[in-house]
Amino acid sequence: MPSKPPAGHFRLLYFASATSFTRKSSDELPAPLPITDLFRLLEKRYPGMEKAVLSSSAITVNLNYIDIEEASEGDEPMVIQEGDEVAIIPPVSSG
Amino acid sequence: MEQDEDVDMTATSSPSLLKRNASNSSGDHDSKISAGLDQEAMEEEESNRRERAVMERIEQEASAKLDEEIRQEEKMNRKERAAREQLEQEIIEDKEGEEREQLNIEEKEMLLMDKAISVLPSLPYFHHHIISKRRRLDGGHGMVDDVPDVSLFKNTIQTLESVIERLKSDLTRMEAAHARGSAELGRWWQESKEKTRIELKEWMKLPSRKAGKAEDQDSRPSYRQSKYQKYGRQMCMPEIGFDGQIKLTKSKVLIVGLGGLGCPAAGYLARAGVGTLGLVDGDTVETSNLHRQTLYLEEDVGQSKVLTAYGRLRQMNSRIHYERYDYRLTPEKAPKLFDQYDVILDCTDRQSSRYFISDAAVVTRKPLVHASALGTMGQFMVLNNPPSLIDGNAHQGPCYRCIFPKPMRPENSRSCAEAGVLGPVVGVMGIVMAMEAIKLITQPNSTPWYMIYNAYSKEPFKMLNLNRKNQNCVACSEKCTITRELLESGSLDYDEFCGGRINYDVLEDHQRMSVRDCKRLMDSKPQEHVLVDVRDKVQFDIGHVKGSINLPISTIYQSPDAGLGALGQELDFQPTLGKNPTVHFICRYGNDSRLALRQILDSQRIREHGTLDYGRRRYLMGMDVIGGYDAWRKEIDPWLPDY
Repeated sequence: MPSKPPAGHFRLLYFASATSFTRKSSDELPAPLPITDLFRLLEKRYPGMEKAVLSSSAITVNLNYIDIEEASEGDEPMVIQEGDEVAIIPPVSSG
Repeated sequence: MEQDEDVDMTATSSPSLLKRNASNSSGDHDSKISAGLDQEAMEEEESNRRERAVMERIEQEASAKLDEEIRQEEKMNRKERAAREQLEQEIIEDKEGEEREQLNIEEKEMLLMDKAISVLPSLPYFHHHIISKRRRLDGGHGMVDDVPDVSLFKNTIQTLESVIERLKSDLTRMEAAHARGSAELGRWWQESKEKTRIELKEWMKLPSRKAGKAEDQDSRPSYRQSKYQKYGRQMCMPEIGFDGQIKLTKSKVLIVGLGGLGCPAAGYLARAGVGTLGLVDGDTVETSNLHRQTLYLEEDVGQSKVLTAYGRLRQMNSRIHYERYDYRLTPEKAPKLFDQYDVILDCTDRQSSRYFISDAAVVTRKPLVHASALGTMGQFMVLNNPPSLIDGNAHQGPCYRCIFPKPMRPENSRSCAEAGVLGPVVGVMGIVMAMEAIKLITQPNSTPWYMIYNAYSKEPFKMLNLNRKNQNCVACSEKCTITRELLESGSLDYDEFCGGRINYDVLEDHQRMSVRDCKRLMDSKPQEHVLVDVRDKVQFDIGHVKGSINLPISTIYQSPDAGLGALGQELDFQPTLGKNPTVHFICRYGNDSRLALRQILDSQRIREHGTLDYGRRRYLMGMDVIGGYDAWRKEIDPWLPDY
């Protein structure tokens, strides 16, 4: 099993086209991070990623599917915590 | 048969065996075989001694044709063997349980066949009449003779269509044999006749078996006995048991797409003994399918996937009912088709079908087993389970749109043809689909789940929770806008929704050149022109135009300016280039290269400076190569791998 992310960080896993876009299978990013900032941060690191990958991907936090819009709404938007595991899962169509 | 085996053996062995084989045969035929087999042996070593092979190949082009003929003969032999095995299998089966019935059936069948031929124009009605009558006698459905059973009638038509389809292809082969004056013609005729007999016999028997009480008292136990024997190992499982097996026997499963996912899924479900297996696909078998699509053999290339799969599946389990839909499913047809089934398996390979199959499953309230695979990764979900109810059922499972409300842009969504896929990866997903379908049938209340398989990861299987519906889903929430009527009207344009087709028409005519023109340029002024191949590195490594350099399109997409930087760096290492070389672009088929060149021309660097200045050189942006690597292989260098 993979090791825990370093202190003060969370792990971001990439699948399918997210892997080919970033050329990585994962990143370790500083936590805490409001979920509203996640896409912005990734777009900065990987220009073009939001449009090409993120906008149509499913996002999970600690293995639970998250509706980004829903999680960003309200007075207290969701915050990614230290040690969390976030995954970017783009749709795959072929078979 | 003997000769057939000789050919099989020598085809994969050394030249010494070839000679022995040649000396065993005689006359004209002899030289055909040896020439053809030399050719094959050569092809094996092709990668090591391509240069030499080119010369020899030219000499032997004529013999390649003969080689093909031999292969055809071999194929015929194999088909004959298959037909014989099928026949033998049937004889064994008959002996096992239906010896008494056998005689009656044979007699009845002869009578039926005679009668059938005399009433050929009304054969479908005749069949319907006979079966309805049988059912009534059996007390099966209490059907009145004059009231047509529409689904039975449809089945009749479909079966006849597939028989006719096969007869047509038999005819084509026989015509070819006739034209050649081949002695095989007689054998073909016999084989075709035998196949027709078997197919019609099977068809005539089907519905009566389904009616349950069809067999008389003596033959009933033996039939059931064979069923116990066949499914005993899975019936022993507490998860299935007797009740589970009965549920399976009564179940109807529809498999949409008979590719890498559909083949293994269909195989396991047929063997598990589902009642009806529906098979949908409009494609034919291609050579590039064979590494992962497990129902097809080399000899099936060019044949209909549905009909080929049907033949193979029936050899696995002849006692279940198959429905064949030899066409590509459309949103308009989907709801009516799904109505007839209990569980739907989405084994398709394009984004638009993913969406409309999900929508059709929602409006017909069917659970949907969904999987996909690409490269080394697969995704699996059970969707719409329990099936969504428009009136807001708190427990209903999410649909595909809940998880992926926005489709992937077409330029970012790649297919197996472009990105490749590993056979076992897609196989794993197909088998998981079969297992989940069995679970849905035998234990319908399992919770929805999502699994990601990543073959090369440290954690190959990852389970995710998929228990959230999207409260704003356009397909399955209370706010839904997609209805059955809308789907069936055909007014929903799924291709458009998925971003339509990519517009490749982004260059002027003078910005494109043919492979021949490109070759001429490269040959005449090698210092002034350089070819950049925008395929993946892996594909580039399989084969590329001599002297071309690799810059994957993903690099350009990510950032055209950074891509240009990488390009400059790469070109800087090319010692033979002059001071102001022109850069041309090539890809696999001539599509991506156009997009790549467009992106580069639109980049800040080129817009501002017009050229790429890097190191000691100034690079001009040139043209796109029409038809790409594929055209280069066909027109210039046939020895480039046709991968």
